[in-house]
Amino acid sequence: MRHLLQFLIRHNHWFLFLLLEVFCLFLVVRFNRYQEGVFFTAASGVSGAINNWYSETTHYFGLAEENEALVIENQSLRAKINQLESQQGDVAVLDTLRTQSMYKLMHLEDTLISARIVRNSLNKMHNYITINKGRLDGVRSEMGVVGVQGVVGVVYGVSDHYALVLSVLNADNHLSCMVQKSNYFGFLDWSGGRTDMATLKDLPLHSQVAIGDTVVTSGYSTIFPANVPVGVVQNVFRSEDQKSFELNIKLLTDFSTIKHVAVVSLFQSEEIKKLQVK
Amino acid sequence: MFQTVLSRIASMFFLVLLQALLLNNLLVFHSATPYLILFFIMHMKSDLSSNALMLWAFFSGLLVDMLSSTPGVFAAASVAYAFVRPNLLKLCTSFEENDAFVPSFKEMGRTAYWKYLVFSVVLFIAILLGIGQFGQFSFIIYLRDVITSSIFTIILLASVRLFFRSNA
Repeated sequence: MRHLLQFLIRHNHWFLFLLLEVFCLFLVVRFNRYQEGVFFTAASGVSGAINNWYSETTHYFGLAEENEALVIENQSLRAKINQLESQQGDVAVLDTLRTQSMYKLMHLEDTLISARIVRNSLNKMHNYITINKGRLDGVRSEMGVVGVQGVVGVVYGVSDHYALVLSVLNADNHLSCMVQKSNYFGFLDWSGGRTDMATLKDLPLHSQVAIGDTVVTSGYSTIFPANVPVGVVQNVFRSEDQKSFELNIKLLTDFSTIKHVAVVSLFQSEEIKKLQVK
Repeated sequence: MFQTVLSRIASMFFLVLLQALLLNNLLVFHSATPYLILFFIMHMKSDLSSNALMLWAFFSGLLVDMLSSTPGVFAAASVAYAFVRPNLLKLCTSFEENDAFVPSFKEMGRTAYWKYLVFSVVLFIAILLGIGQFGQFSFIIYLRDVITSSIFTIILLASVRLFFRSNA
């Protein structure tokens, strides 16, 4: 302690010099505008560098928590992406249906409800499709279901959030269809076997049909409007009883890959149904 | 002692007024300004303590700053010079530490005094202009100003010293 004091006393002129000089420099920086500007610019640079170093150091030590937060955020974003992608698919189906002129589908009053297939079967005699829209979304029994390529089926059962669709590949489904060129109509029948082929039955023998003709919905129902594509004629032959033609139809809808559909609610279909009941 | 202090105060005020009101407004060849205020600190007795010297330098410089609106500039340069002055005297003279003298041609000898004068002036002006320019640094212009001001100040101080014997 004594040595320290002796040191301080011996070099007291240094302390006085530093004190006076610092005070003078304070006056220079404080009361001279130019020097003040230069000083504060330099000071900002130094304090900026120190703050940057501090921030990088604390950031480094907080990396573990940041990592965890990012993982959680990633998971939630992935879930959102999946949801949006499915919705996008639904929207794409609707957009395509609305713009495809060959449908001549929609009166403006008709409603399209987009849906995604959550379950599908192909290998049974009675195949059903489950979609992710139900009563609360406006889906009702006996509404038609279409895909981008063509007819898919008819709504059979409905719950609040899901609906069961009687697929075209179902032995109980007898869709009223017609040959687009000639308007001769019959009933579409599928009795197992290939999932891309069906049979249009009960066409009159005088009907003019050729291989390659397009088969569409007839419109003689409250389920589908007219001219919704169904398939293309592959073969023409007489029925067993020789009283009508039967057409082998290659279905336009690929039931093994279809993911997005739309449920059709025809304008004034309820009124027509009531009239039919009467 | 009291008379010495009084005469010092009187010299200080005289030089401060001369420097602040007249000489600071001179700009010979657009660069040179004479700094007569240095005379006051340079020609203090050699045995004056460092602390006392620095305090005299500080107050004289502060007075000049107050009158010429350059707060802290002259004071900083004067204090810095006053701090260095004892070592400068040791460098330029062969006097012992305890010898008390007032720097002059007669006391120190021509060569020693010229050396002391030149070093003192150049050092003081370099610090002064360095603080004044403070970052707007064109080194060529700074060097030019230091050299021209130093020459002018050296001539002035030498003339004054020759004219006045002593201000102890």
